Amino acid sequence: MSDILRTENLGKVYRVGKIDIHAVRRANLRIKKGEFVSIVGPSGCGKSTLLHLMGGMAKPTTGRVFIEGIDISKIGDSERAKIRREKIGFVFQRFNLFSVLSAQQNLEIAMQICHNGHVDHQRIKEIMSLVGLENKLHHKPLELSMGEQQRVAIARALINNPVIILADEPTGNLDSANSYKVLYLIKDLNRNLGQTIVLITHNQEASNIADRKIGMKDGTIVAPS
Amino acid sequence: MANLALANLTKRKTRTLVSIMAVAIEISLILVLVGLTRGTLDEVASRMQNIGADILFLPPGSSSILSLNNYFMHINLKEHLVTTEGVKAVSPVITWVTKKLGGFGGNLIFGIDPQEFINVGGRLELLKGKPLQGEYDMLVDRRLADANNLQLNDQVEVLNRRFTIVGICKAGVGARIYVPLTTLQNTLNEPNRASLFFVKCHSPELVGEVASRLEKSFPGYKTQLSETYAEDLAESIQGINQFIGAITVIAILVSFLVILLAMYTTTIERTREIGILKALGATKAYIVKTIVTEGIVLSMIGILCGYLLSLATQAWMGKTYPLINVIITPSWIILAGILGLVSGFFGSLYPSYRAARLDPLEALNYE
Repeated sequence: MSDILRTENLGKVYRVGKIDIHAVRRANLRIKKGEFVSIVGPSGCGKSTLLHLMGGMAKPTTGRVFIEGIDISKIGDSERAKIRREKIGFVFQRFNLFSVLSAQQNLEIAMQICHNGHVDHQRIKEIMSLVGLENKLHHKPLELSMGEQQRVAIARALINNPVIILADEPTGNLDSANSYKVLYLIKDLNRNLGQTIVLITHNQEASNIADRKIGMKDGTIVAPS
Repeated sequence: MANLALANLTKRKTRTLVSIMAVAIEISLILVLVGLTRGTLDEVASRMQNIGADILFLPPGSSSILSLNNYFMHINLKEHLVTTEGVKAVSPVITWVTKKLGGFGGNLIFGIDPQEFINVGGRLELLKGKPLQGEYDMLVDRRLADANNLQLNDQVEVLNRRFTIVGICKAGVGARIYVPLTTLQNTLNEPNRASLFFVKCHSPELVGEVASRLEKSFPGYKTQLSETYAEDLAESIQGINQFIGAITVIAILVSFLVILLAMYTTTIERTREIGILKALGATKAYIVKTIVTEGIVLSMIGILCGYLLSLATQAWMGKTYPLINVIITPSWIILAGILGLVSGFFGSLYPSYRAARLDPLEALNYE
């Protein structure tokens, strides 16, 4: 199986005043097509920073990131934006939906951005059905439960057929029942659709749902990668 | 189809309303002020032109704005004017401005010899009553009569004299008030004087020639052609175009600043939303387009409201101040609309540019 995502000696340093903070140190990862990988570690260990580097949301200080063989670490903002919209789906802890738009419209925006304004309404219905929200197309986020909002966010991450979904603490704002539903939805996406997924979590139990676990501590990968 | 720009406008109703009002006020300020200026100038000019005379013969140092003149000529000049080659008829007129009976800056009174006045133009059309005959007879035009609820036989005090309204004439010709020439001369203590002479030529083709002849024969005196009265009047009012320009610029600036402030605060409030767009891979152009679209939609609604406000103001002024004209022309409607759009576009440009340059992670984490 080919590598969907690969990092080589990836590092990120933040300068705060006169102090350098090494958020990520020499991370070497390979994520193969169809894999479901979790990265687990305590809060502040650098997992989210690693995810942002992998997803092209931040530029690394050292090292490289490859998405389907393309080195995204040195490219400009416009090219990284292109990679994000065509190849990556993000799921955030805070859902990050547009509160002024309905669930359907949130997915439409993602499609418009990727396909130059074109929207495939049939696909939207299919994806919303996949996440179990076919009856909530016209509901705004405030009219949905938190679990439902996160499922809309997952649908949005899927809508443009990304090569990889990066989920940053997707159950961080959910109660245990909704966390369970969301985690198993993500599991189903991997098992049934072959979707490549990287899940970031501080919860050991949640991380067990993945096929492969990677531990992280103080910016360093400490367990098998 | 999802439209983030429109959805945000409807969510933040108060801010949207204030921004729309700013543009509406900009548009109506431009249209009403320009319309008032133009309306006043056009009305004055057309009244002079509608007398039917070809040339106004004016004393040295005088202005085309008759109400500003305080110079008089001897009435004997009439004999010399009438014998000038090409001149058919001459009518001396003495003028005064009264603040009575409303009007923008007062009302112009013409002291005339009725027959001679008719000879130079003949367009003073009587709607009711009779022409000037008695010493203290007065004619008023229809508009002035309606505005002040004047009827035949009503008495009006001007310059400490009591005049009786004996006739109501059609509006739009010369002055709004007519009294006998000698009465006004005596009242002003200027016997045998005239403020100007209206001159009628034998034919329209001779007008230019006659005007030159008069200027040569009477050096220092001024000739004003009726047909160019409107343009000459506009030019003679120093700074009128600059005034209109200044008002327009101020109105645009105010609207631009309000839109800028509205869009700037909205982009700050929506920093996380912009972060989401960037996380989804939106280009800078997409983000700029979203925010500028919002600004332009605000402007377009504001422009329409501005048009309505202008028409309502025009109607209200027509009813409340019937002697004042507000002329709103199609060309100014289009120009005001374009200026409104321009202020909306440029007001949104900086905030959109700023938003497009935000770091996606910082934007997503913004509280």
